[in-house]
Amino acid sequence: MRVLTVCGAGVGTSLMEKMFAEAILNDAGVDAQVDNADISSATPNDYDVVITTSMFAEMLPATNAQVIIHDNIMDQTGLKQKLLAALAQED
Amino acid sequence: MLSQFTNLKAIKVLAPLTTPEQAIRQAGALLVSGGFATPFYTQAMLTSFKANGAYFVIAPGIAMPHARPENGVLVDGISLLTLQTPLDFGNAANGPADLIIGLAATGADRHIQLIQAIAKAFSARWRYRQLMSCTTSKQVLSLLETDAPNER
Repeated sequence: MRVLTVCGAGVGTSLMEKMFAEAILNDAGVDAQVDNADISSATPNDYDVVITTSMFAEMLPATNAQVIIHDNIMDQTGLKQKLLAALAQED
Repeated sequence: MLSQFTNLKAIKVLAPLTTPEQAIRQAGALLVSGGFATPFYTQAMLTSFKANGAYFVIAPGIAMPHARPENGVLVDGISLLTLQTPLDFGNAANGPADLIIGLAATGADRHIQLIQAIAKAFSARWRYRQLMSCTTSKQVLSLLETDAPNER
């Protein structure tokens, strides 16, 4: 599956979220590619799942991808729950 | 270890600031004195705050203002600023912040190591509380010489 993390500048928050998502998916034994992007260049339709904050979720182009809203970037337990729930939807 | 990405000139504790703009300006000034960015980068962080809002409040209490690499980043690194009073940056989900991590990232490979080091240093919530209890810059720096255990 393909996962995209999105933030404002594409160099801080989304990169951190990408690292957490990769680690979670790796732990779960899921074969996934995780990319990160800034909001102005994000192409959510190229992905199955998009992870972003409430604010950028509103700014995302319309998409068929599942959008996970995750505001506390450091909360890996919460991200894991949301990501695994999204995975179950994909199957 | 996050300590390798900062230095004593880039750390300030318990600053008595009253507005988010002051905090971003101070975090930027610390990046300049630490040798990580030019003064223009501070302006770029303020501009990004105006344009994109406070998404850089990455967790309750923790703000990580930053701008694009081409706006004056010299070397990958961070400044660390703790505030006497938490300030409301306008992030409803994560609330006010009193730990400000000024981020200067180049976009090169070392940048990834820097973000990894920040994630490792703060992924345990008690690390934030520990850092907020520091009363000197030296205490902050020595705290960052060890990684927090993973709580994933």
